[in-house]
Amino acid sequence: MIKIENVTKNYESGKVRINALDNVSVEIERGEFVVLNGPSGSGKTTLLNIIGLLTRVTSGRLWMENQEVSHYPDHFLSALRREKTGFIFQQFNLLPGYTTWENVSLPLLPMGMSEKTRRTMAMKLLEELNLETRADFMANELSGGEQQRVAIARALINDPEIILADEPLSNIDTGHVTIVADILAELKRRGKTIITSFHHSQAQVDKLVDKTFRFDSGRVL
Amino acid sequence: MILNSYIITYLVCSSLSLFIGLAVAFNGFRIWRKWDITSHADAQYRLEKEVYLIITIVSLGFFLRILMVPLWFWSLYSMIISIPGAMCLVGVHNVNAPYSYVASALKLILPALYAYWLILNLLDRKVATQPFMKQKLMFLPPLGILIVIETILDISFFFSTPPRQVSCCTSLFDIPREGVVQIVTEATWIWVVLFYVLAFFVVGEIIYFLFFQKRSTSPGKERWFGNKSAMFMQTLVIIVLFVVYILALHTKISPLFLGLPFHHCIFCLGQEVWDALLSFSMIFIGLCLFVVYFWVISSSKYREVNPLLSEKMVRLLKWSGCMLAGGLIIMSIHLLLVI
Ligand SMILES: Nc1ncnc2c1ncn2[C@@H]1O[C@H](COP(=O)(O)OP(=O)(O)OP(=O)(O)O)[C@@H](O)[C@H]1O
Ligand SMILES: [Mg+2]
Repeated sequence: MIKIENVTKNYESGKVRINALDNVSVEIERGEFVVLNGPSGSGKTTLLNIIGLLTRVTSGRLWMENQEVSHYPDHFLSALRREKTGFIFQQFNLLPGYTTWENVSLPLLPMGMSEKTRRTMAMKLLEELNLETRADFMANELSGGEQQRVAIARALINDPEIILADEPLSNIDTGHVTIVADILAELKRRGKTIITSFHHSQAQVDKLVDKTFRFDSGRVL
Repeated sequence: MILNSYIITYLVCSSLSLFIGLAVAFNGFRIWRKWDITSHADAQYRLEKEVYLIITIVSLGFFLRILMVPLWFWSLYSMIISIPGAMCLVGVHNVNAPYSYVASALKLILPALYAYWLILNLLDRKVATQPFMKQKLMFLPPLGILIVIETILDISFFFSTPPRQVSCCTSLFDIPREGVVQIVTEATWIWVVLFYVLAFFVVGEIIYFLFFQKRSTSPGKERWFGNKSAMFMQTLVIIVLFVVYILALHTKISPLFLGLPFHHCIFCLGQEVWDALLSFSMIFIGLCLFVVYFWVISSSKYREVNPLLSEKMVRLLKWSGCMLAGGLIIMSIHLLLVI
Protein backbone atom coordinates (compact mmCIF):
# COMPACT_ATOMS: atom_id res chain seq x y z
CA MET A 1 0.00 0.00 0.00
CA ILE A 2 2.85 2.35 0.82
CA LYS A 3 6.09 1.72 -0.95
CA ILE A 4 9.26 3.68 -0.48
CA GLU A 5 11.95 3.02 -3.02
CA ASN A 6 15.54 4.21 -2.62
CA VAL A 7 14.48 7.38 -0.92
CA THR A 8 17.10 9.92 0.01
CA LYS A 9 16.33 13.16 1.78
CA ASN A 10 18.86 15.89 2.21
CA TYR A 11 18.36 19.08 4.13
CA GLU A 12 20.47 22.01 3.15
CA SER A 13 20.86 24.99 5.39
CA GLY A 14 23.53 27.32 4.09
CA LYS A 15 26.65 25.32 3.44
CA VAL A 16 25.74 22.45 5.71
CA ARG A 17 24.12 19.51 4.03
CA ILE A 18 22.43 16.92 6.21
CA ASN A 19 21.67 13.52 4.86
CA ALA A 20 18.55 12.76 6.91
CA LEU A 21 17.59 9.65 4.92
CA ASP A 22 20.03 7.67 2.87
CA ASN A 23 18.67 5.33 0.23
CA VAL A 24 15.82 3.95 2.31
CA SER A 25 13.44 1.32 0.92
CA VAL A 26 10.43 0.27 2.95
CA GLU A 27 7.13 -1.41 2.17
CA ILE A 28 4.05 -1.17 4.32
CA GLU A 29 0.80 -3.10 3.75
CA ARG A 30 -2.70 -1.93 4.49
CA GLY A 31 -3.65 -2.47 8.13
CA GLU A 32 -0.13 -2.97 9.36
CA PHE A 33 1.19 -1.55 12.60
CA VAL A 34 4.68 -0.36 11.86
CA VAL A 35 7.21 1.00 14.31
CA LEU A 36 10.22 3.10 13.42
CA ASN A 37 12.83 3.27 16.13
CA GLY A 38 16.38 4.36 16.53
CA PRO A 39 18.43 7.06 18.19
CA SER A 40 17.68 10.75 18.09
CA GLY A 41 18.45 12.28 14.71
CA SER A 42 18.36 8.96 12.87
CA GLY A 43 15.62 10.04 10.45
CA LYS A 44 12.36 8.71 11.95
CA THR A 45 10.51 12.00 11.81
CA THR A 46 11.85 12.65 8.33
CA LEU A 47 10.43 9.37 7.03
CA LEU A 48 7.08 10.00 8.71
CA ASN A 49 6.99 13.43 7.11
CA ILE A 50 7.62 11.90 3.70
CA ILE A 51 4.91 9.27 4.13
CA GLY A 52 2.59 11.93 5.52
CA LEU A 53 3.23 13.99 2.34
CA LEU A 54 4.47 16.89 4.41
CA THR A 55 7.84 17.01 2.76
CA ARG A 56 9.18 15.71 -0.52
CA VAL A 57 12.02 13.35 -1.28
CA THR A 58 15.36 14.49 -2.68
CA SER A 59 15.54 11.38 -4.79
CA GLY A 60 13.74 8.05 -5.00
CA ARG A 61 10.07 7.22 -5.25
CA LEU A 62 7.06 7.10 -3.01
CA TRP A 63 4.03 5.02 -3.94
CA MET A 64 0.64 5.15 -2.27
CA GLU A 65 -1.96 2.65 -3.39
CA ASN A 66 -0.22 2.07 -6.72
CA GLN A 67 0.07 5.76 -7.49
CA GLU A 68 3.50 7.25 -7.63
CA VAL A 69 3.06 10.42 -5.67
CA SER A 70 6.65 11.66 -5.51
CA HIS A 71 6.04 14.07 -8.38
CA TYR A 72 2.57 15.18 -7.40
CA PRO A 73 2.03 18.92 -7.30
CA ASP A 74 1.16 20.57 -4.01
CA HIS A 75 -2.58 20.79 -4.52
CA PHE A 76 -2.72 17.04 -5.14
CA LEU A 77 -0.60 16.30 -2.08
CA SER A 78 -2.77 18.43 0.17
CA ALA A 79 -5.91 16.74 -1.09
CA LEU A 80 -4.43 13.29 -0.49
CA ARG A 81 -3.10 14.34 2.88
CA ARG A 82 -6.50 15.65 3.95
CA GLU A 83 -8.27 12.54 2.80
CA LYS A 84 -5.95 9.74 3.79
CA THR A 85 -3.62 10.70 6.60
CA GLY A 86 -3.78 11.78 10.19
CA PHE A 87 -0.56 13.09 11.65
CA ILE A 88 0.36 13.28 15.31
CA PHE A 89 3.36 15.57 15.53
CA GLN A 90 6.22 15.08 17.94
CA GLN A 91 5.90 18.77 18.85
CA PHE A 92 2.05 18.58 18.73
CA ASN A 93 1.78 21.78 16.61
CA LEU A 94 -1.49 22.89 18.17
CA LEU A 95 -2.71 26.40 17.44
CA PRO A 96 -2.23 28.32 20.70
CA GLY A 97 -4.95 30.95 20.20
CA TYR A 98 -7.71 28.37 19.73
CA THR A 99 -9.61 26.16 22.12
CA THR A 100 -9.06 22.47 22.48
CA TRP A 101 -12.15 21.49 20.52
CA GLU A 102 -11.37 24.00 17.77
CA ASN A 103 -7.91 22.51 17.41
CA VAL A 104 -9.34 19.01 17.23
CA SER A 105 -11.91 19.95 14.58
CA LEU A 106 -9.41 21.85 12.45
CA PRO A 107 -9.11 19.15 9.72
CA LEU A 108 -12.88 19.31 9.20
CA LEU A 109 -12.82 22.99 8.23
CA PRO A 110 -12.21 22.50 4.48
CA MET A 111 -15.21 20.15 4.36
CA GLY A 112 -17.68 22.91 5.05
CA MET A 113 -19.43 21.33 8.06
CA SER A 114 -21.45 23.42 10.46
CA GLU A 115 -19.84 24.46 13.73
CA LYS A 116 -22.33 22.33 15.63
CA THR A 117 -21.41 19.15 13.74
CA ARG A 118 -17.73 19.87 14.13
CA ARG A 119 -18.08 20.41 17.84
CA THR A 120 -20.11 17.24 18.31
CA MET A 121 -17.49 15.21 16.46
CA ALA A 122 -14.66 16.78 18.42
CA MET A 123 -16.40 16.20 21.75
CA LYS A 124 -16.87 12.52 21.02
CA LEU A 125 -13.14 12.04 20.51
CA LEU A 126 -12.22 14.23 23.47
CA GLU A 127 -14.39 12.04 25.71
CA GLU A 128 -12.59 8.91 24.56
CA LEU A 129 -9.34 10.61 25.53
CA ASN A 130 -10.58 11.85 28.92
CA LEU A 131 -10.36 15.45 27.81
CA GLU A 132 -14.01 16.53 27.67
CA THR A 133 -13.51 18.92 30.60
CA ARG A 134 -10.76 20.70 28.68
CA ALA A 135 -12.81 21.25 25.53
CA ASP A 136 -13.07 25.02 25.94
CA PHE A 137 -9.56 25.61 27.29
CA MET A 138 -7.06 27.37 25.09
CA ALA A 139 -4.52 24.98 23.65
CA ASN A 140 -1.66 26.80 25.40
CA GLU A 141 -3.34 26.30 28.80
CA LEU A 142 -2.96 22.52 28.56
CA SER A 143 -0.23 20.38 30.06
CA GLY A 144 2.20 18.57 27.77
CA GLY A 145 0.39 15.24 28.15
CA GLU A 146 -2.96 16.86 27.48
CA GLN A 147 -1.63 18.56 24.38
CA GLN A 148 -0.36 15.19 23.22
CA ARG A 149 -3.83 13.70 23.47
CA VAL A 150 -5.41 16.70 21.77
CA ALA A 151 -2.95 16.19 18.92
CA ILE A 152 -4.07 12.55 18.74
CA ALA A 153 -7.72 13.58 18.63
CA ARG A 154 -7.01 16.05 15.84
CA ALA A 155 -5.25 13.36 13.79
CA LEU A 156 -8.21 11.00 14.11
CA ILE A 157 -11.11 13.36 13.53
CA ASN A 158 -11.38 12.87 9.76
CA ASP A 159 -11.15 9.09 10.17
CA PRO A 160 -7.97 8.69 8.08
CA GLU A 161 -6.79 5.37 6.67
CA ILE A 162 -3.19 6.02 7.57
CA ILE A 163 -2.22 7.28 10.98
CA LEU A 164 1.25 8.63 11.44
CA ALA A 165 2.26 9.11 15.04
CA ASP A 166 5.60 10.64 15.90
CA GLU A 167 6.52 9.61 19.45
CA PRO A 168 2.92 9.49 20.65
CA LEU A 169 3.82 8.04 24.03
CA SER A 170 6.81 10.11 25.02
CA ASN A 171 5.08 12.92 26.88
CA ILE A 172 2.42 11.14 28.83
CA ASP A 173 2.28 9.37 32.15
CA THR A 174 1.75 5.64 32.47
CA GLY A 175 -1.99 5.93 33.05
CA HIS A 176 -2.46 7.75 29.81
CA VAL A 177 -0.04 5.48 27.97
CA THR A 178 -2.64 2.78 28.49
CA ILE A 179 -5.38 5.02 27.05
CA VAL A 180 -3.32 5.84 23.97
CA ALA A 181 -2.22 2.22 23.56
CA ASP A 182 -5.88 1.16 23.74
CA ILE A 183 -6.75 3.69 21.05
CA LEU A 184 -3.98 2.42 18.82
CA ALA A 185 -5.19 -1.16 19.36
CA GLU A 186 -8.74 -0.12 18.47
CA LEU A 187 -7.51 1.65 15.32
CA LYS A 188 -5.61 -1.43 14.28
CA ARG A 189 -8.69 -3.56 14.87
CA ARG A 190 -10.59 -1.21 12.53
CA GLY A 191 -8.06 -1.93 9.80
CA LYS A 192 -6.15 1.33 9.90
CA THR A 193 -2.54 1.49 8.84
CA ILE A 194 -0.50 2.84 11.69
CA ILE A 195 3.07 4.05 11.41
CA THR A 196 4.63 5.30 14.56
CA SER A 197 8.03 6.08 15.99
CA PHE A 198 9.31 5.25 19.44
CA HIS A 199 12.69 5.95 20.97
CA HIS A 200 12.45 2.84 23.09
CA SER A 201 10.34 -0.21 22.74
CA GLN A 202 6.99 0.16 24.48
CA ALA A 203 5.66 -2.84 26.34
CA GLN A 204 2.01 -1.74 25.99
CA VAL A 205 2.11 -1.71 22.22
CA ASP A 206 4.59 -4.49 21.52
CA LYS A 207 1.86 -7.01 20.93
CA LEU A 208 0.31 -4.83 18.19
CA VAL A 209 3.48 -4.42 16.17
CA ASP A 210 3.69 -6.12 12.76
CA LYS A 211 6.95 -4.64 11.54
CA THR A 212 9.80 -2.71 13.08
CA PHE A 213 12.33 -0.69 11.14
CA ARG A 214 15.45 0.27 13.02
CA PHE A 215 17.07 3.49 11.89
CA ASP A 216 20.61 4.65 12.32
CA SER A 217 22.05 7.79 10.70
CA GLY A 218 19.41 7.86 8.01
CA ARG A 219 19.64 4.21 7.07
CA VAL A 220 17.37 1.27 7.79
CA LEU A 221 19.28 -1.51 9.50
CA MET B 1 -6.80 64.68 -24.74
CA ILE B 2 -10.08 64.44 -22.90
CA LEU B 3 -10.14 63.36 -19.28
CA ASN B 4 -13.18 62.43 -17.26
CA SER B 5 -13.88 59.96 -14.49
CA TYR B 6 -14.59 57.08 -16.90
CA ILE B 7 -11.40 57.62 -18.81
CA ILE B 8 -9.31 58.01 -15.68
CA THR B 9 -10.79 54.82 -14.20
CA TYR B 10 -10.14 53.07 -17.47
CA LEU B 11 -6.55 54.27 -17.60
CA VAL B 12 -5.92 53.11 -14.04
CA CYS B 13 -7.29 49.64 -14.87
CA SER B 14 -5.33 49.63 -18.09
CA SER B 15 -2.04 50.39 -16.30
CA LEU B 16 -2.77 47.64 -13.83
CA SER B 17 -3.59 45.26 -16.67
CA LEU B 18 -0.33 46.18 -18.41
CA PHE B 19 1.59 45.56 -15.22
CA ILE B 20 -0.10 42.19 -14.72
CA GLY B 21 0.44 41.27 -18.37
CA LEU B 22 4.14 42.05 -18.24
CA ALA B 23 4.67 40.43 -14.87
CA VAL B 24 3.10 37.12 -15.92
CA ALA B 25 4.81 37.26 -19.33
CA PHE B 26 8.31 37.58 -17.87
CA ASN B 27 7.78 35.17 -15.03
CA GLY B 28 5.90 32.71 -17.20
CA PHE B 29 8.79 32.62 -19.62
CA ARG B 30 11.39 32.32 -16.86
CA ILE B 31 9.53 29.41 -15.22
CA TRP B 32 8.90 27.79 -18.62
CA ARG B 33 12.63 27.66 -19.27
CA LYS B 34 13.44 26.00 -15.96
CA TRP B 35 10.37 23.81 -15.58
CA ASP B 36 11.19 20.13 -15.10
CA ILE B 37 8.45 18.04 -13.54
CA THR B 38 10.82 15.10 -12.99
CA SER B 39 13.20 17.14 -10.86
CA HIS B 40 13.18 16.88 -7.08
CA ALA B 41 15.40 19.91 -6.66
CA ASP B 42 14.26 22.59 -4.26
CA ALA B 43 14.40 25.00 -7.19
CA GLN B 44 11.60 23.05 -8.88
CA TYR B 45 9.42 23.29 -5.76
CA ARG B 46 10.01 27.01 -5.68
CA LEU B 47 8.89 27.20 -9.31
CA GLU B 48 5.74 25.31 -8.37
CA LYS B 49 4.99 27.85 -5.68
CA GLU B 50 5.56 30.63 -8.19
CA VAL B 51 3.10 29.00 -10.57
CA TYR B 52 0.44 29.21 -7.87
CA LEU B 53 1.19 32.92 -7.62
CA ILE B 54 0.93 33.30 -11.39
CA ILE B 55 -2.45 31.54 -11.37
CA THR B 56 -3.70 34.01 -8.77
CA ILE B 57 -2.42 36.99 -10.73
CA VAL B 58 -3.87 35.76 -14.02
CA SER B 59 -7.26 35.23 -12.35
CA LEU B 60 -7.06 38.80 -11.12
CA GLY B 61 -6.08 39.91 -14.61
CA PHE B 62 -9.09 38.12 -16.06
CA PHE B 63 -11.54 39.94 -13.78
CA LEU B 64 -9.82 43.20 -14.54
CA ARG B 65 -10.15 42.55 -18.28
CA ILE B 66 -13.86 41.79 -17.87
CA LEU B 67 -14.30 45.05 -15.99
CA MET B 68 -12.38 46.90 -18.68
CA VAL B 69 -14.82 45.93 -21.43
CA PRO B 70 -17.72 48.14 -20.27
CA LEU B 71 -15.28 50.73 -18.93
CA TRP B 72 -13.68 51.13 -22.32
CA PHE B 73 -16.96 51.52 -24.14
CA TRP B 74 -18.33 53.89 -21.49
CA SER B 75 -15.17 55.95 -21.84
CA LEU B 76 -15.70 56.17 -25.58
CA TYR B 77 -19.36 56.97 -25.06
CA SER B 78 -18.47 59.74 -22.63
CA MET B 79 -16.31 61.34 -25.31
CA ILE B 80 -19.11 61.80 -27.82
CA ILE B 81 -20.06 65.25 -26.57
CA SER B 82 -16.47 66.51 -26.79
CA ILE B 83 -15.85 65.39 -30.35
CA PRO B 84 -17.37 67.59 -33.04
CA GLY B 85 -19.43 65.55 -35.42
CA ALA B 86 -19.56 62.41 -33.28
CA MET B 87 -23.03 61.09 -32.54
CA CYS B 88 -22.18 57.58 -31.51
CA LEU B 89 -19.11 55.39 -31.05
CA VAL B 90 -18.38 55.32 -34.77
CA GLY B 91 -17.51 59.00 -34.63
CA VAL B 92 -15.37 58.44 -31.57
CA HIS B 93 -13.56 55.59 -33.27
CA ASN B 94 -12.95 57.82 -36.28
CA VAL B 95 -10.72 60.05 -34.17
CA ASN B 96 -7.97 57.66 -35.09
CA ALA B 97 -9.38 54.84 -37.14
CA PRO B 98 -8.43 52.13 -37.94
CA TYR B 99 -6.28 51.74 -34.80
CA SER B 100 -9.19 52.54 -32.54
CA TYR B 101 -11.10 49.62 -34.02
CA VAL B 102 -8.19 47.30 -33.34
CA ALA B 103 -8.09 48.61 -29.77
CA SER B 104 -11.81 47.88 -29.39
CA ALA B 105 -11.43 44.41 -30.87
CA LEU B 106 -8.62 43.68 -28.41
CA LYS B 107 -10.98 44.59 -25.58
CA LEU B 108 -13.00 41.52 -26.52
CA ILE B 109 -10.14 39.28 -27.58
CA LEU B 110 -8.01 39.70 -24.46
CA PRO B 111 -10.55 38.50 -21.89
CA ALA B 112 -11.26 35.56 -24.21
CA LEU B 113 -7.55 34.67 -24.22
CA TYR B 114 -7.42 35.00 -20.44
CA ALA B 115 -10.45 32.74 -20.21
CA TYR B 116 -8.70 30.18 -22.40
CA TRP B 117 -5.68 30.29 -20.08
CA LEU B 118 -7.80 29.85 -16.98
CA ILE B 119 -9.77 26.96 -18.46
CA LEU B 120 -6.52 25.27 -19.53
CA ASN B 121 -5.22 25.84 -16.02
CA LEU B 122 -8.33 24.39 -14.45
CA LEU B 123 -7.91 21.25 -16.54
CA ASP B 124 -4.18 21.12 -15.87
CA ARG B 125 -4.74 21.15 -12.13
CA LYS B 126 -7.03 18.13 -12.37
CA VAL B 127 -4.14 15.93 -13.50
CA ALA B 128 -1.19 15.08 -11.29
CA THR B 129 1.33 15.31 -14.10
CA GLN B 130 0.15 18.86 -14.97
CA PRO B 131 0.30 18.06 -18.68
CA PHE B 132 -0.47 21.58 -19.93
CA MET B 133 2.01 23.38 -17.72
CA LYS B 134 4.55 24.25 -20.41
CA GLN B 135 1.82 25.21 -22.86
CA LYS B 136 0.22 27.35 -20.18
CA LEU B 137 3.43 29.16 -19.32
CA MET B 138 4.38 29.71 -22.95
CA PHE B 139 1.02 31.30 -23.65
CA LEU B 140 1.79 34.16 -21.28
CA PRO B 141 4.51 36.04 -23.24
CA PRO B 142 2.38 36.48 -26.39
CA LEU B 143 -0.49 37.54 -24.16
CA GLY B 144 1.81 40.14 -22.58
CA ILE B 145 2.86 41.40 -26.02
CA LEU B 146 -0.79 41.77 -27.06
CA ILE B 147 -1.45 43.81 -23.93
CA VAL B 148 1.52 46.05 -24.74
CA ILE B 149 0.18 46.57 -28.27
CA GLU B 150 -3.24 47.31 -26.83
CA THR B 151 -1.79 49.86 -24.41
CA ILE B 152 0.07 51.61 -27.21
CA LEU B 153 -3.14 51.76 -29.27
CA ASP B 154 -5.10 53.05 -26.27
CA ILE B 155 -2.57 55.76 -25.57
CA SER B 156 -2.36 56.84 -29.20
CA PHE B 157 -6.15 56.96 -29.16
CA PHE B 158 -6.56 59.01 -26.02
CA PHE B 159 -3.76 61.38 -26.97
CA SER B 160 -4.66 61.93 -30.59
CA THR B 161 -6.23 65.30 -31.38
CA PRO B 162 -9.64 64.89 -32.89
CA PRO B 163 -9.93 66.26 -36.41
CA ARG B 164 -12.03 69.41 -36.64
CA GLN B 165 -14.97 67.32 -37.66
CA VAL B 166 -15.26 63.53 -37.58
CA SER B 167 -17.66 61.69 -39.78
CA CYS B 168 -20.11 59.53 -37.93
CA CYS B 169 -22.45 56.70 -38.66
CA THR B 170 -25.10 58.59 -40.57
CA SER B 171 -22.68 60.13 -43.04
CA LEU B 172 -20.66 56.93 -43.32
CA PHE B 173 -23.26 54.22 -43.59
CA ASP B 174 -26.59 55.81 -44.36
CA ILE B 175 -25.75 57.91 -47.39
CA PRO B 176 -25.08 55.44 -50.15
CA ARG B 177 -21.75 55.99 -51.80
CA GLU B 178 -22.74 54.42 -55.05
CA GLY B 179 -26.26 55.68 -55.12
CA VAL B 180 -29.22 53.38 -55.29
CA VAL B 181 -27.17 50.26 -56.01
CA GLN B 182 -25.64 50.41 -52.58
CA ILE B 183 -29.01 50.60 -50.92
CA VAL B 184 -30.17 47.56 -52.82
CA THR B 185 -27.11 45.48 -52.01
CA GLU B 186 -27.14 46.55 -48.42
CA ALA B 187 -30.77 45.74 -48.20
CA THR B 188 -30.18 42.10 -49.10
CA TRP B 189 -30.73 39.35 -46.64
CA ILE B 190 -27.72 37.47 -47.91
CA TRP B 191 -25.52 38.02 -44.84
CA VAL B 192 -28.30 37.23 -42.42
CA VAL B 193 -29.08 34.04 -44.29
CA LEU B 194 -25.41 33.12 -44.47
CA PHE B 195 -25.05 33.86 -40.77
CA TYR B 196 -27.92 31.54 -39.88
CA VAL B 197 -26.58 28.78 -42.12
CA LEU B 198 -23.14 29.00 -40.54
CA ALA B 199 -24.52 29.39 -37.03
CA PHE B 200 -26.68 26.29 -37.39
CA PHE B 201 -23.70 24.47 -38.79
CA VAL B 202 -21.69 25.39 -35.69
CA VAL B 203 -24.55 24.45 -33.36
CA GLY B 204 -24.65 21.10 -35.18
CA GLU B 205 -20.92 20.76 -34.69
CA ILE B 206 -21.22 21.46 -31.00
CA ILE B 207 -23.87 18.75 -30.70
CA TYR B 208 -21.70 16.35 -32.70
CA PHE B 209 -18.69 17.03 -30.50
CA LEU B 210 -20.81 16.72 -27.39
CA PHE B 211 -21.65 13.15 -28.38
CA PHE B 212 -18.13 12.51 -29.60
CA GLN B 213 -16.68 13.77 -26.32
CA LYS B 214 -19.09 11.70 -24.24
CA ARG B 215 -18.02 8.53 -26.04
CA SER B 216 -14.37 9.44 -26.33
CA THR B 217 -13.32 7.67 -23.16
CA SER B 218 -13.70 4.26 -24.77
CA PRO B 219 -10.53 3.31 -26.67
CA GLY B 220 -10.16 4.02 -30.37
CA LYS B 221 -12.63 6.91 -30.24
CA GLU B 222 -10.13 9.72 -30.03
CA ARG B 223 -9.58 10.77 -33.60
CA TRP B 224 -10.04 14.49 -33.04
CA PHE B 225 -7.49 14.69 -30.27
CA GLY B 226 -4.15 16.28 -31.01
CA ASN B 227 -5.36 17.33 -34.46
CA LYS B 228 -3.83 20.71 -35.17
CA SER B 229 -5.36 21.18 -38.63
CA ALA B 230 -8.85 20.58 -37.24
CA MET B 231 -8.07 23.27 -34.71
CA PHE B 232 -7.03 25.76 -37.39
CA MET B 233 -10.05 24.92 -39.50
CA GLN B 234 -12.40 25.36 -36.56
CA THR B 235 -10.82 28.63 -35.53
CA LEU B 236 -11.15 29.84 -39.10
CA VAL B 237 -14.80 28.76 -39.31
CA ILE B 238 -15.56 30.65 -36.10
CA ILE B 239 -13.75 33.76 -37.31
CA VAL B 240 -15.61 33.64 -40.62
CA LEU B 241 -18.88 33.15 -38.76
CA PHE B 242 -18.08 36.13 -36.60
CA VAL B 243 -17.27 38.34 -39.58
CA VAL B 244 -20.50 37.26 -41.29
CA TYR B 245 -22.33 38.01 -38.05
CA ILE B 246 -20.93 41.57 -38.04
CA LEU B 247 -21.94 42.00 -41.69
CA ALA B 248 -25.42 40.65 -40.96
CA LEU B 249 -25.79 43.06 -38.08
CA HIS B 250 -24.58 45.92 -40.23
CA THR B 251 -26.59 45.27 -43.37
CA LYS B 252 -29.92 44.13 -42.06
CA ILE B 253 -30.31 43.58 -38.38
CA SER B 254 -29.31 47.08 -37.24
CA PRO B 255 -31.77 48.89 -39.51
CA LEU B 256 -34.53 46.45 -38.58
CA PHE B 257 -33.95 46.56 -34.83
CA LEU B 258 -33.41 50.30 -34.76
CA GLY B 259 -36.50 50.85 -36.86
CA LEU B 260 -34.62 53.20 -39.17
CA PRO B 261 -34.43 51.63 -42.62
CA PHE B 262 -31.17 53.32 -43.54
CA HIS B 263 -29.39 53.29 -40.24
CA HIS B 264 -26.73 50.58 -40.30
CA CYS B 265 -24.75 51.43 -37.19
CA ILE B 266 -23.83 48.50 -34.97
CA PHE B 267 -22.72 50.77 -32.15
CA CYS B 268 -26.08 52.54 -32.11
CA LEU B 269 -27.66 49.11 -32.02
CA GLY B 270 -25.60 48.06 -29.01
CA GLN B 271 -26.34 51.34 -27.30
CA GLU B 272 -30.08 51.38 -27.85
CA VAL B 273 -31.29 47.80 -28.10
CA TRP B 274 -30.29 45.97 -24.96
CA ASP B 275 -31.37 42.51 -26.10
CA ALA B 276 -29.20 42.89 -29.19
CA LEU B 277 -26.25 43.56 -26.88
CA LEU B 278 -27.20 40.57 -24.76
CA SER B 279 -27.47 38.23 -27.73
CA PHE B 280 -24.19 39.59 -29.11
CA SER B 281 -22.43 38.83 -25.81
CA MET B 282 -23.93 35.35 -25.59
CA ILE B 283 -23.04 34.47 -29.17
CA PHE B 284 -19.52 35.81 -28.65
CA ILE B 285 -19.02 33.81 -25.43
CA GLY B 286 -20.49 30.66 -27.00
CA LEU B 287 -18.16 30.88 -29.99
CA CYS B 288 -15.14 31.59 -27.79
CA LEU B 289 -15.84 28.56 -25.63
CA PHE B 290 -16.09 26.35 -28.70
CA VAL B 291 -12.73 27.64 -29.92
CA VAL B 292 -11.30 27.02 -26.44
CA TYR B 293 -12.56 23.43 -26.65
CA PHE B 294 -10.66 22.94 -29.88
CA TRP B 295 -7.54 24.63 -28.65
CA VAL B 296 -7.50 22.29 -25.66
CA ILE B 297 -8.16 19.02 -27.48
CA SER B 298 -5.65 19.86 -30.20
CA SER B 299 -2.86 19.84 -27.63
CA SER B 300 -0.49 16.94 -28.21
CA LYS B 301 -0.75 16.14 -24.50
CA TYR B 302 -4.52 15.96 -24.47
CA ARG B 303 -5.05 12.43 -25.78
CA GLU B 304 -3.52 10.67 -22.79
CA VAL B 305 -5.41 12.68 -20.19
CA ASN B 306 -8.81 12.66 -21.91
CA PRO B 307 -10.33 10.06 -19.56
CA LEU B 308 -9.61 12.34 -16.62
CA LEU B 309 -10.86 15.51 -18.26
CA SER B 310 -13.67 14.32 -20.50
CA GLU B 311 -16.39 15.27 -18.05
CA LYS B 312 -15.10 18.84 -17.83
CA MET B 313 -14.86 19.06 -21.60
CA VAL B 314 -18.46 17.93 -21.96
CA ARG B 315 -19.43 20.71 -19.58
CA LEU B 316 -17.42 23.21 -21.61
CA LEU B 317 -19.27 22.19 -24.76
CA LYS B 318 -22.62 22.39 -23.01
CA TRP B 319 -21.87 25.94 -21.92
CA SER B 320 -20.71 26.82 -25.39
CA GLY B 321 -23.84 25.37 -26.97
CA CYS B 322 -26.21 26.98 -24.46
CA MET B 323 -24.63 30.41 -24.87
CA LEU B 324 -24.65 30.26 -28.65
CA ALA B 325 -28.17 28.83 -28.87
CA GLY B 326 -29.45 31.29 -26.27
CA GLY B 327 -27.99 34.23 -28.16
CA LEU B 328 -29.44 32.98 -31.42
CA ILE B 329 -32.89 32.48 -29.90
CA ILE B 330 -32.98 35.97 -28.42
CA MET B 331 -31.92 37.48 -31.72
CA SER B 332 -34.33 35.38 -33.77
CA ILE B 333 -37.32 36.23 -31.59
CA HIS B 334 -36.61 39.92 -31.97
CA LEU B 335 -36.09 39.45 -35.69
CA LEU B 336 -39.42 37.64 -36.05
CA LEU B 337 -41.17 40.41 -34.15
CA VAL B 338 -39.93 43.17 -36.46
CA ILE B 339 -40.43 41.53 -39.83
N1 LIG C 1 13.80 20.86 8.50
C1 LIG C 1 15.06 20.43 8.70
N2 LIG C 1 16.10 21.18 8.27
C2 LIG C 1 17.37 20.76 8.44
N3 LIG C 1 17.69 19.61 9.01
C3 LIG C 1 16.71 18.82 9.48
C4 LIG C 1 15.34 19.19 9.34
N4 LIG C 1 14.57 18.21 9.88
C5 LIG C 1 15.44 17.28 10.33
N5 LIG C 1 16.72 17.64 10.10
C6 LIG C 1 17.92 16.84 10.41
O1 LIG C 1 17.76 15.56 9.87
C7 LIG C 1 18.23 14.56 10.74
C8 LIG C 1 17.15 13.56 11.03
O2 LIG C 1 16.12 14.21 11.77
P1 LIG C 1 14.79 13.53 12.27
O3 LIG C 1 13.94 14.60 12.84
O4 LIG C 1 14.23 12.73 11.16
O5 LIG C 1 15.33 12.57 13.41
P2 LIG C 1 14.50 11.68 14.43
O6 LIG C 1 14.92 10.29 14.20
O7 LIG C 1 13.05 11.97 14.34
O8 LIG C 1 15.06 12.21 15.82
P3 LIG C 1 14.29 12.32 17.24
O9 LIG C 1 14.23 10.96 17.77
O10 LIG C 1 15.19 13.21 18.04
O11 LIG C 1 12.97 12.93 16.97
C9 LIG C 1 18.72 15.29 11.97
O12 LIG C 1 20.12 15.38 11.89
C10 LIG C 1 18.07 16.65 11.88
O13 LIG C 1 18.92 17.64 12.41
MG1 LIG D 1 11.67 12.83 15.53
